[in-house]
Amino acid sequence: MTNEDPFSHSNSRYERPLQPYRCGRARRWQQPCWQGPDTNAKCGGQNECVPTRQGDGYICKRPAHAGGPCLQGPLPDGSCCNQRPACVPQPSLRKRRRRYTLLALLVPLIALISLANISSSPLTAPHLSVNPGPLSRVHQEFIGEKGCQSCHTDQQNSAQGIVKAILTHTTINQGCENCHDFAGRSELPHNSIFPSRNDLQPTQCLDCHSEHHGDEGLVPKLSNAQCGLACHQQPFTDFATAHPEFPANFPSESPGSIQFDHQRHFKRHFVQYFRGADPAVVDQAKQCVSCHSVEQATREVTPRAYQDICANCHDKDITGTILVIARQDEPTPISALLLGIEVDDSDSFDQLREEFLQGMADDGVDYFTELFDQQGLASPQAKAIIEQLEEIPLDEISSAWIEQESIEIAATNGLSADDDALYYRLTGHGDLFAKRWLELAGKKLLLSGDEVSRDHSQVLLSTLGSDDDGTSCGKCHALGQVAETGQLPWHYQGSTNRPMSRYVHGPHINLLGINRSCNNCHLINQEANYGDYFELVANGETPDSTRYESNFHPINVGKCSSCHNQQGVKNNCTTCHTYHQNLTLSGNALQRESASTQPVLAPDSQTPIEDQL
Amino acid sequence: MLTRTFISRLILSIACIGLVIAATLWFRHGTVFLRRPELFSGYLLFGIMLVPSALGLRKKISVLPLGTAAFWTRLHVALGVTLIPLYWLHVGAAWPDGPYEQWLTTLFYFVTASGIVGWAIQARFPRRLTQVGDEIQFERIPQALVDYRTRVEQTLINYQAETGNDTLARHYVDTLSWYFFKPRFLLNHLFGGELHEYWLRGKFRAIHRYLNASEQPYLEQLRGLAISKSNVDFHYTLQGVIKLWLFFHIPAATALMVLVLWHLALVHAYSI
Repeated sequence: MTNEDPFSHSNSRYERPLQPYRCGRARRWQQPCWQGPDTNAKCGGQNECVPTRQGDGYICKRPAHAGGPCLQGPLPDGSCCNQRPACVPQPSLRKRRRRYTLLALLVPLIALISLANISSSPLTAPHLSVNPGPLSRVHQEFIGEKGCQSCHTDQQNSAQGIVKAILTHTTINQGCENCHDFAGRSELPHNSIFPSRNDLQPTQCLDCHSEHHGDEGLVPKLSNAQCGLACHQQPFTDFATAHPEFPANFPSESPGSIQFDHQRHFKRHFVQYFRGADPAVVDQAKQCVSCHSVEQATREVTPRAYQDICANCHDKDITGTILVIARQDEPTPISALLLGIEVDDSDSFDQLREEFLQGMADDGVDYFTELFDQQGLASPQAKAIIEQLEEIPLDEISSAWIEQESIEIAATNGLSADDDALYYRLTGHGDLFAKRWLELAGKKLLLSGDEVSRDHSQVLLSTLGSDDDGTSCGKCHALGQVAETGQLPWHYQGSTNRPMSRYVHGPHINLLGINRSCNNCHLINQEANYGDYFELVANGETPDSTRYESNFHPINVGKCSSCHNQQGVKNNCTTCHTYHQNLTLSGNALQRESASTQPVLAPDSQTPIEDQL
Repeated sequence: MLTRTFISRLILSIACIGLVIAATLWFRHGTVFLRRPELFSGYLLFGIMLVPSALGLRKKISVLPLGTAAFWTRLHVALGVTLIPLYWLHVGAAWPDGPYEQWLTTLFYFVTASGIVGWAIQARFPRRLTQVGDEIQFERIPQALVDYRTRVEQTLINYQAETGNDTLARHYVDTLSWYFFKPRFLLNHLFGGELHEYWLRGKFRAIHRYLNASEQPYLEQLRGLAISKSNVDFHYTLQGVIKLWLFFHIPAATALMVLVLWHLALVHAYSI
């Protein structure tokens, strides 16, 4: 450099790099003063020195590195003779850096707080500092003006709520349940209670689902490892080898609501009905798709309506069938139901006969109302029956029976009477009058308190539902199931409800072809005693449903794994299983959906939301 | 030759690689067991972020035996680099979806990039400064420049007094005073160029032909002072950059920590 030791203590002042300010002259590349500014940014170099008093005068105290004592010396008043204007001290680099750092601390903090308008909707204000990312399109449709509060209910849209939420444990589950309903609580694995698994921890929706990543991650695909290791005790590797065998009689473990013996129809009835016809017609009749609506195949390939597939053979047996409402000399199922006696208890009927007939003679149809009330059967069905019975003069009929006079009356609504009994002629399948009596019998069964009266009601129902020819309702409808299910099985109910499984017939049918896809899995079991179970039901018994034998051979895992294997079609858990049970949208969501002007679409397609959920 | 520094770096590198592998395996384990591994990776990330932040604190409390500053710097660099894969592990992508998270990520990348640049500067520039041969404190450079100007002007006064000419003095006023006033050719020094030498050669060659033999020694004295002053310029440039990169790194790191704490608060408020 310019000097061997230019910065020795005698040549320059001691440098203090931690000082917050530096000389303003040095900043302008001029001679810096040796004093330098103080910590308050005040110039310290207006005087070259601070003279000290010595005797009667003053002496210069300028240090050696600043040139030593000056020749002129201090002024008489003791001030320095070398005075100069004050400089404007400049902050040191360290000081400047601290300022920038403080700025970097405050600017984002202020920006974050000012943009944290938690009452706004992230849709209208996407740059909110509390917005962690775009919502999925499905949820965008639902949050509306409530914004974050739609799902984040614990935060209460206030700063205090946020602070409280930070300090306490919060879950999003409640927010999810505002719109999503399940079969059980959302915190339960699979929304179910597993009594044998005390080790299971409560689940959070966020364990699997993630929001604020657009459509990604909202409906996750669980891997086999996640299913097999996270909860299930048996690691799941491969469907073909590791999946437990299906239940016995899968998928037709339960008898269903309608008795239809496939084997019997194929072997006997169809052949008989189409006797003499072209064999191709018989083959066509034996095709599954001739009865099952393959066009609407979902999990079930439901049979078509009665009028389409059954009426041709069975309607002639049903229409015109006579239902005996009451006889004057013996009990009928209906009079037994009204009087609260057993259907074959003639002795009890004989005791009540006079009262029964006199009641009808005196009060007519009002007596029936009284009997309904006495038996606890007052209901819309009873009311409708009464309205229909008003079409025929019950008092006259009963009076004739008491007086043993001859009488013959026929009303226009199917009701008629003669010397012996009161009749009703069925108009056909689904006749409402007959149906209502059966529903009242079912109600009676459900009202039965003890085992004995329950058995009596069961017999009464089965008797009411059948006749000697076996052509009435109970022939196909398993009426006795009302004891188990609580409702009469008027409609096709399909196979066992499996809330955690999903199967769609459509793609399988499309893949295999309509002619061979059914028989590929559903094979008629010629040895099965399908009718035994229904016979017991029809006889008024309550058979164990495990005694039911399906018309079809059970389907086993091997049947599925012939295609669903590691070399073939995908075979991960979620292909066939769902996590949630009975996942539905609750009223809140549905109201918002209906209020929305835009159609709600699933994120991955143009299909409606219901299909996705 | 295995020096202590090399061994220290090796151990730190292995430890950081091991940390990344262990975190990845744990993250995968958490994913399989549905344990919300992003919470684990987030807290790990936050914890590791705090360690580099403690370097400044370590420098302030030098009285405590908390390891050498060199070790802390190595730790700072190693963990800073380790944060990159851990950050990707946590976010699941190189770029997040949320607005403030994008700012956070921008700052994270900026802090990381400025840190890497700073690390390269601190590894490279001191060697270059040593190669120049002279040493000078950054804070004393203004005084050094004043000294240069004083010596140049004194030389010119002597020149005028002894030769009776003012050619060289007028040349200084016209051209060289610009050079001596403050550090010049900063970018040239930063990138190791020789533009300043070219410029000086041109200026001295231009005046050389107008000076007689008695004036030549003064010209040589000026040339020597000019060349020596270029070393000060070199120091000013490189030391300035060494200090300047922290102007980007530290404020950005501070802003990053603000956003990280904000993110942490939101996660606790809305997700835990």
